Amino acid sequence: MAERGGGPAAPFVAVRGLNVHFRRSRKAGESVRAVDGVDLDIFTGETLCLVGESGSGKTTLVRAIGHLAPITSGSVRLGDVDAAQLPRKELRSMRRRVQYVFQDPFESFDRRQSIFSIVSQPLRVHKLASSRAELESKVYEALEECGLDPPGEFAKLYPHQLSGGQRQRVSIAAAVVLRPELLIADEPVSMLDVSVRSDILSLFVRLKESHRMTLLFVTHDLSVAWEIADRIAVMYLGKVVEEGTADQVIGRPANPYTHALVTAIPVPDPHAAAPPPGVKGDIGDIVGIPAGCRFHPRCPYALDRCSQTAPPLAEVGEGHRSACIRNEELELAPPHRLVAGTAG
Amino acid sequence: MALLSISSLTVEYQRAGRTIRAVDDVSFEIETGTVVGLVGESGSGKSTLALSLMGLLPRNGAVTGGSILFDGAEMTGLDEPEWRTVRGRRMGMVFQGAMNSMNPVRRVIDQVAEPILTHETDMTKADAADRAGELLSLVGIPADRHPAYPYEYSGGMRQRAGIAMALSGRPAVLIADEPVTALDVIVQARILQLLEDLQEALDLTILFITHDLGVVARLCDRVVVLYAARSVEEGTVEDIYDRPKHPYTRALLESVPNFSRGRGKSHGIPGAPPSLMDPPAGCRFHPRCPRAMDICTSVSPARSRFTATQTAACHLYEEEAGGDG
Repeated sequence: MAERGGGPAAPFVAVRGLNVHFRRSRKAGESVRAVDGVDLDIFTGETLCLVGESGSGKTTLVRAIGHLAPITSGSVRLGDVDAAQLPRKELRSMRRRVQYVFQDPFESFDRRQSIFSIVSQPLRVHKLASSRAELESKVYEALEECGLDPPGEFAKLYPHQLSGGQRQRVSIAAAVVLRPELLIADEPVSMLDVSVRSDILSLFVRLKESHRMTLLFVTHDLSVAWEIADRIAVMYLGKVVEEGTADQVIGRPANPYTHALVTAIPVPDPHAAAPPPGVKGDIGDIVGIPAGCRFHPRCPYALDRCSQTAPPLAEVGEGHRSACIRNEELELAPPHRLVAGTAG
Repeated sequence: MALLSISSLTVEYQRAGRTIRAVDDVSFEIETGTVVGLVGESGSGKSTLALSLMGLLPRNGAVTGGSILFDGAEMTGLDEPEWRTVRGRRMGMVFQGAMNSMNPVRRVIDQVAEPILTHETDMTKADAADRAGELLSLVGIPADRHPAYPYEYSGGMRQRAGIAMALSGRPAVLIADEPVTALDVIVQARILQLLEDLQEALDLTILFITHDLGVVARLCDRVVVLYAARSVEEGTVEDIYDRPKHPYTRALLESVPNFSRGRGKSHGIPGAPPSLMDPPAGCRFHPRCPRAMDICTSVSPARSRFTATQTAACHLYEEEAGGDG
């Protein structure tokens, strides 16, 4: 089990002062601050869920962590290496340590490639099999542990012969076949039918445990995060606004934005009360980035000074941090009745 | 009397020389002023059913059996000019992609006014613009944003404008196909609240089509659960969530994360929804059903009635609760 926030273990991923800015137009010289001054630790063996609405910067952040997006400034250390400092040759071997699973299993494959070819490709690229027999045995093992059994049969099929859930299992197999230390999954269940989602979630947890991987899981759906996360980090307009254990962030959210997000989750219970309105506007209404706390124009608890000072992430409980200048005084009611328990 | 009464509805597509039955003998009713949720996964037929209710089936699709009675009038067999007197008027529609279906180069208020002018021929342009303004205010768009262009709206505002357009014909029923699916959760909650408020204020009847069991619990009075083109269970929201009868309904509810059940307690349903090109014989859920019996593999289950409000089609209940159809 991972050390939960603030434990003595060294983080596997250490993000410090990370900025990823995109230039919007050459002439105006204005830039979009997709990730803006993020510090984040991800501990070895834990599942960290990065949660946020569209436009929060969560995908850009994980791409920067895997060095798929250019970093404007700041650093991302994986284990003991800072990839930004690595020569190109070594970057490739580092890339092997970090693998991705993306949202759309329908788009990510070449339809003319067999499942064998899809799952064996990463092994061939990284020259990790010295013979056909070794290649086959690694591919079959990956397919089998991803629930595509019998692997010999699945290996011969093509993507269009599989269901959505099976295709997502193939993309997971193609990621874990390299035995990465960090698996980054970006909305991997949001295209899938409800009835197949939870088995894919438990597959992630099982693989993480059997291969001692660290799992960074991006989702817009807090109920998915609650199902599998050890810890949750919530992003809003390029900043992490709250982080803590799943029970802390969803059970007792401290930041008004997280509170609004958790409150708004429609629960499968007709007896649950309708969520009270509170938050104004939506993330897409925000033109440019507001000064001070980015959430202040929508926040029901905003004071004048919220528009002046950007609040730092500050401790509100053990391993629980929130970026709000009213951390000390606000007492936000728990939005849902939670039954605490463990993931997996 | 029911405002919308669907009985034994069957819809088929012709594709590559084959017939695909996307809605198979589905019956349910919607009483005036109620919200009915139509729930299903991919391939359940829920979107096809919605299209057939609005006369919007693609060319290769047709209603091949059953009836759709809307306010006492038969809708199957209407031709396109006849549909145009119903659709967008007494039957309003809201889609998932309402945000993308607006004309990008016309002001929002003009786009809301347009169907009003088409439908109510005695109205002047100025009256139609006034009415469009009222509708936009009703759905919570401030007056200073009415003349803006769609690209100046956020996703939530565009969906609000889509709802205003759906209301422009003063509809008796609103057919909403995944209207909040593409929205972020905070915006989604407010659009659901808006639909609930409008339903109360205008005594609207709503058919709400979705895969999201949380949204259904929040908004609907009754629920129809579809699986592989057939209705497997129907009841009030309390029937469905508190005492589900069909093994599919039960399994579907268990597959959704639920805060009041504890973490890691959700379980998926093995396998995947079947392809309608080649559906399983007997009960279509039997290959995934934990309680399947021999009979389930060959005989389609009849509907059993449990209470005045709840029915399900499953062989488990055929003896204890007497068939009903």
